[in-house]
Amino acid sequence: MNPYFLEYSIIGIAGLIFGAALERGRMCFVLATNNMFMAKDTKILEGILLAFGISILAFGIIESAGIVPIQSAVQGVFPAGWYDLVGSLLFGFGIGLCGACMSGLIFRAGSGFTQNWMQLFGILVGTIFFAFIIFPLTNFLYWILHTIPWLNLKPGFADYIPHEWFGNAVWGPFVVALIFGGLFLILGLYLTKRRFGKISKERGVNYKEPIITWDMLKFKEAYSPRLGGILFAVVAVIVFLASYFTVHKVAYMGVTTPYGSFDTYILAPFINLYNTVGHYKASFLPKISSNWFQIVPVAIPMTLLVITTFAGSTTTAILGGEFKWRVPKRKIMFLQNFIGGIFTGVGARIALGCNIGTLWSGFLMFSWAGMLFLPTLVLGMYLALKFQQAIW
Amino acid sequence: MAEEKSLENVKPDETLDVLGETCPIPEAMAHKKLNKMKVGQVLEVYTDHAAAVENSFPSMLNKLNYPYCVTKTGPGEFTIKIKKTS
Amino acid sequence: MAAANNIKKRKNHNWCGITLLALYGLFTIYASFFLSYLNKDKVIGKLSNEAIAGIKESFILWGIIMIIGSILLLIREYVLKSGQEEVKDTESGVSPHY
Repeated sequence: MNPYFLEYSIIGIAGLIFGAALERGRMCFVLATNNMFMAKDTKILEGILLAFGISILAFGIIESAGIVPIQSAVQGVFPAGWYDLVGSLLFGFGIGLCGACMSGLIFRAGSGFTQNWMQLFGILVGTIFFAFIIFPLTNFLYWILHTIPWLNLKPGFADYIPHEWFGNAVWGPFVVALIFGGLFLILGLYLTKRRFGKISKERGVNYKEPIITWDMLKFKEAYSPRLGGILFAVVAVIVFLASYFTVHKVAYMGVTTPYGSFDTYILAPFINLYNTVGHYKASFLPKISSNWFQIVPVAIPMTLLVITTFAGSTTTAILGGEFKWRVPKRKIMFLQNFIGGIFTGVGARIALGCNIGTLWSGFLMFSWAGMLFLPTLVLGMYLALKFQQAIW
Repeated sequence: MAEEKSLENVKPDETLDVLGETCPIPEAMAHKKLNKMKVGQVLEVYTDHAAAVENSFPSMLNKLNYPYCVTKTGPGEFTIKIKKTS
Repeated sequence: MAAANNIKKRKNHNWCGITLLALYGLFTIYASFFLSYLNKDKVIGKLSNEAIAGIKESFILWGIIMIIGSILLLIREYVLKSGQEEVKDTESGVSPHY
């Protein structure tokens, strides 16, 4: 059987699970940070921390045990650099304006929020803007040229922390996973315990929330964010293993680059993407970078994952009786979401990914990308929250 | 302050319609409106952002210590009544 | 009361979601036709012919799955009528957590 057919088909299933986990678990980074800033509530954050912790530990074990050899795992590692900081600030402000991060966008749009469809449209426009204007004019490729994975110019260890710290030791990934993943996991478990303790004290009973109940599985009740987090980790592991065992080229989670391919499918009937627009040739580079669409593959496994994630979240929203075509009363919200979407799209492209592709997968790749992405992302979201509190 | 069923049939003094809007708008606007209201008045919020009803509103109102009541009025639609007590 | 009036106006929007699901399927099938066309002129990031064939088949398969899924949901909605019961469910709900 065609290995690519197998890979994409399995990853499609992973996308359905991902969509269900997102929609039912309300796994949105903006929601998590807003709740934290506004009400000191950490419920959703716990789910996200659990997702990060479990998946990082799982990846460390997989790589150290040799199920996926380190040599293969590094082929998908993204380079990290200053653009992560700049991009994530724009991205964070954009998602803060829209009230939905890249993953939150999928489940909200999937359950019928029209303003998030507007954000999606903004992202598509922002990606085109980046591809035809920012990318060639800033000579963006130069900055990332030495390590961008699908160019295969330098397949290597440049940004792989276990290699940086421990050389070629087999146990390297496991130790790094223990440090980062352990940190997230302990923080998540601690926050859960603290929240339960607080509620127990208020109510005078021993308060506990189940991770999973029958009502959740029957779509009667929303998932606990911790169940969502566990499903997140499962999805990342499925994607990682399925891509390695079918085509021997690993795929990490990511949802932004597929929007680039959606753009190409939409634009393809109208313009010739590779030749006619924004031709540009840097003197010190081979003639390559006329626009971003030239370097992005026509399809990566994540392209299908995003479509099935949409499908999964729409299906669970219908099954849970939550689907509704929601139009905001104040039409200005469409404008805000469109502008926010452009910020989101451009920021995500500058940072080479979004809160899934660079932040989460950055940790899963054991590169510095996640660490660089996080602080300015939170700063951007905080600024957007303050901005909205001021104007509305 | 936990939920109070007695609020269910109270006539609201103010209403806020944030149907179709996502976080942080429902919470932020409700918070702003509550700040402007007098003590003892009741605010009614219409929202269809399930995550706000499940997480944001309860945590915000518990912090403010206002009693509230959530009614499910349709698929993914909720009405929240909040009493300003201080 | 305002809330009571709101209940009367409320409609079942599930058909929207079902249409959306079918549209995802159609988009996937539509996208599959552009894979080889877009890949042809690629210089960087070009996929092999085997890859394009496999990806195309998988896109079409998933497109069909989504359309079948939307038909199943349609049956659930209009033949079994189980989706419409949930819409009528207006009992006083309690925020499940906290």
